[in-house]
Amino acid sequence: MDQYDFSRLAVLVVDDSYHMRRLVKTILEAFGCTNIYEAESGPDALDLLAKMPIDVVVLDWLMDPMDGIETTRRIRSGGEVHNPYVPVIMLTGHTTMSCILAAREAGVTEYLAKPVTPKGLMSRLQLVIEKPRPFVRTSVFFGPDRRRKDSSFYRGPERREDEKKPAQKTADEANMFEIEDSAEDAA
Amino acid sequence: MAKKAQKPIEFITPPNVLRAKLATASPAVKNPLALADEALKSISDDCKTWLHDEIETLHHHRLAFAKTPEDEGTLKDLTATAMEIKGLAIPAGCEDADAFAASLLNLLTAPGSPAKSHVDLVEAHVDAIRAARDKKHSPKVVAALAAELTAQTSDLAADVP
Repeated sequence: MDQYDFSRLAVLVVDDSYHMRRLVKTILEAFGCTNIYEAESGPDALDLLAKMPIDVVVLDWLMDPMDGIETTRRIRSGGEVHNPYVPVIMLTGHTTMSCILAAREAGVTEYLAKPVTPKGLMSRLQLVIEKPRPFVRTSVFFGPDRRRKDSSFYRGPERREDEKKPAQKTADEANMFEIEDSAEDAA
Repeated sequence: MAKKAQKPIEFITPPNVLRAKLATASPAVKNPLALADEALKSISDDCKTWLHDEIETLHHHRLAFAKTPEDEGTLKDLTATAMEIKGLAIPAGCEDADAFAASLLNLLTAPGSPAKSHVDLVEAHVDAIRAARDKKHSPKVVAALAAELTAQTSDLAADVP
């Protein structure tokens, strides 16, 4: 495992619960993070993201008046924030496949189930640092590529006709493959 | 009918600035996971207090829900509080409450909102969470209760067309 100096990382923790913010902040501080910003709502988070160069967002799903899904969509839509590519780690008790897919559809980078643990949070941070997802823009989606597999070492026959001509993939077809792959990743 | 023209997909690979910014040969924190575990232990008493308060809040929401199970607001309040309990139970050292809260969340968020027509099952979950907090049952009873509540919830979720 590579080692990191987390004192250089600017993290935004977004949760309407003081308790959950305190828990996440306690873990991050133990990792060595010193630049930890807090927001208790989606709009407050967007305000901070417009003003500050945040490196990673840890975001709760269930919030009022704007939930984590809508907040992620607004981050990805650009315009309002400093960096629409910022990694978003969604923290939630929703762990059903439909919820995971909804989060991915909104542009969430990583998904972390409650209760948050040091090991879980560290592994998601390592993923966004070591294996950042490329972004995909289609007519209906902008966000991290939901496939993390490295297919460059694959030596078998090309089975997907579309893989031969990536530039000609249509938005609908791409979306279909991404959902399939999301399901495989989550399983 | 003419085929609608669709935009090709565009792949964008932003530069990996985080790795360049954070990687170091001599980190200030040598064993971050152990330190974080210790830090969480140091606030476990706070977590217990927060958990106690959230479980009382859940009880109040459950009373409101029992009166008006069709009301989306009370369902949302219950869900939000169950989510809080799911986040706090383990740091507070109350694993049993975590298991019951997970099952309650599955019930409250299942497609078709079966919780609205099974208020008794919601109430059984809340009672189980309170009993887990107060350590009222033996581990055997807790395990049997958790299995029963989880099975009933799974059956309801599976019944949704």
